[in-house]
Amino acid sequence: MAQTKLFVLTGFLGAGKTTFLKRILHNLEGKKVGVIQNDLGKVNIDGELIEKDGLELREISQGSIYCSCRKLDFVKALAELAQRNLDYVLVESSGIGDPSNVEELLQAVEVLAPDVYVFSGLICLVDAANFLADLESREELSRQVRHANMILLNKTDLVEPQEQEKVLETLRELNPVSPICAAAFGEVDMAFLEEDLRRYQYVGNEASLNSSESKPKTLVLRTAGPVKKAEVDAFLRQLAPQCWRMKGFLPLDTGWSQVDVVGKYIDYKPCPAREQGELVIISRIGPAVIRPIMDGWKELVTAEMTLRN
Amino acid sequence: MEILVVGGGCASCDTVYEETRAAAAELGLDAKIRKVEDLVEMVQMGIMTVPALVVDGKVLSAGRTLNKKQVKALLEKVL
Repeated sequence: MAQTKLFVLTGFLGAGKTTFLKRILHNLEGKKVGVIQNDLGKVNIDGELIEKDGLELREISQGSIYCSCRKLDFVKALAELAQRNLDYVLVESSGIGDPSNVEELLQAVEVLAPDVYVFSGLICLVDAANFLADLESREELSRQVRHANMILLNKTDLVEPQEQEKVLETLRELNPVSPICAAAFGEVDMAFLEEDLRRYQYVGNEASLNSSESKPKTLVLRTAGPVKKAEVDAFLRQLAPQCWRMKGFLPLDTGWSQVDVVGKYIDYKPCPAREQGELVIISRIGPAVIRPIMDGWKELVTAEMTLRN
Repeated sequence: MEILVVGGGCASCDTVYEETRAAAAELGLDAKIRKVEDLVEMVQMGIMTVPALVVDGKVLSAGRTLNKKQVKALLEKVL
């Protein structure tokens, strides 16, 4: 049986992993591909963005795949996909995932499904606009970069060349070995898909920082809408400093929109209509974010909403 | 008797370990109790959901947080 090339994507919340994954999938059109998507919260927004006929998608939610609470589910999912005779398996880690122990996890997969996977690299996406600030607050970011076999310095369209240079210098300090490709919207040469990136290995396996204690608080805001875009925009702008990330689909008065908030950047893209609006909120301040969400919405938005864990 | 509590790094697994030690003590068991936290070892044992309780090689429970009373009940069945 031919082997399956395995790539793992890492990178902080909002760095562009899902967009990059979509590019890879487009490039692998015609090949048999499996995807494991990992999300912190209960609702997997990203799964809908990549869903496609013929794609073998497995979703693992409510915790990082590198954390003791989800490690076995990850190993099980890989072992199960190993039986599908796929050409490629791509893993999209959650943004908060610390992949330091990825080799240990793959050893466990070898026990269940020997000689199927050829692990070809851990690829880290870096948000050029937010990386330096985020690096100070969460240690997972430096681990993601250090363990990466290839680094994609993404969102270069959002920063000046001097800023990009500063980020590049910091990345080099963290990982002097692995190739770094600058990009915007995850657009890079896809030749790496044929390679074994493992020859660029800076550090070896170590314990992951992920634990149920270090997991950020996530919530889901739901609304039937419609909601005025101007009001939602004000709400998001006010809430953004308290959140790592917000993502979802909302029924705006201007039409259904995919909403993405990363740091201070808010992005709207048209999307198909759905049963109800859902926004996943990943908090910087733990459960203390609930109050500003409730108060902010009440103050600024005229539609009803529910907020759930 | 060898009792293995499989799973590590989460509160649930730690709880089962403590409750198992307490249960074994109350039953006056001369048992070696060990926590299995290594992922490769877990998978080699065929354990796919944790926390799990394994006594003399037999899986008595998997994927459930157990309290002392529940552990005692499981242990009593195999004594």
